[in-house]
Amino acid sequence: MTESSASVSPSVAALPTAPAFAMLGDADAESCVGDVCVIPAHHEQAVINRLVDSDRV
Amino acid sequence: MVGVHVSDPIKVDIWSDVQCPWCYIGKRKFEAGVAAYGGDVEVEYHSFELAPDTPVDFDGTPREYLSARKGLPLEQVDLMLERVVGIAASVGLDYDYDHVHQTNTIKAHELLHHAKSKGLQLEMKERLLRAYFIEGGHVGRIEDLADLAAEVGLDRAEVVRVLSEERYLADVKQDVAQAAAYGIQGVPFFVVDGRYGVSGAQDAQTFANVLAQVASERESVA
Repeated sequence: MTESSASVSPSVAALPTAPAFAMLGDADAESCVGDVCVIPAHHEQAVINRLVDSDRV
Repeated sequence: MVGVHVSDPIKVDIWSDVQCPWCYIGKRKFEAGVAAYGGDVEVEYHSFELAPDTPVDFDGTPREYLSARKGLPLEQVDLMLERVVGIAASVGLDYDYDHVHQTNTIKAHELLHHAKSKGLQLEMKERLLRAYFIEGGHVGRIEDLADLAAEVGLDRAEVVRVLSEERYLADVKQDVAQAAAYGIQGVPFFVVDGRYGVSGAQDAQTFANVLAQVASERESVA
């Protein structure tokens, strides 16, 4: 994996100014919006399961 | 895909913030996805400010910040943070929210642009995230940032100078404006080959699949 060294990426500068790319992947993946970081329900259940397994609830 | 050769690295532009827990988790998953893909990938990080109104010297922990900001009971915040810590641990990251310094990340973003100009952006990004989430480091003050920058090979005095002069502030603002133009509302956000958007801390296999898809499409039109 390499990295860009230009201060402004030419590829980004060449990208459209409006979103024109197709979205791929899980639409419910974890992300931070504003200062709220969303935890999807399936992860909450996974964590609860882990706590149950370790007798913490 | 005019001008793109099959053998060219696949460019991935990543919008991210230093104090975004999913960005560090997503970084690990993305790196695993790149390894699973196996081809050449070129990465460039872009600035995104989740909480630009946070003071540099916020007097409190993320726990207190979230509670005050969202009006949540501390017990509920503790549960939220425990969930994040658990998921971080699943990708090998030992988050320490008891010692995280909530701060403003604008200077950290300026530093990432400076590091990019020196070919050290990936190293700087990793160092900032590790300092913030794992080591309890401060990523808002110029002197602290300069110390971290020196660790990855940047000239400390030069870092202090460019951050004091706000030499890369316009670049940060341009990244933020570009994100807004794209409609990016949350981070991490990955733009792959300028054509595909991937939002959030996806599974490693998802990243690998997207990269393989781009490579396959390049070969089909070559």
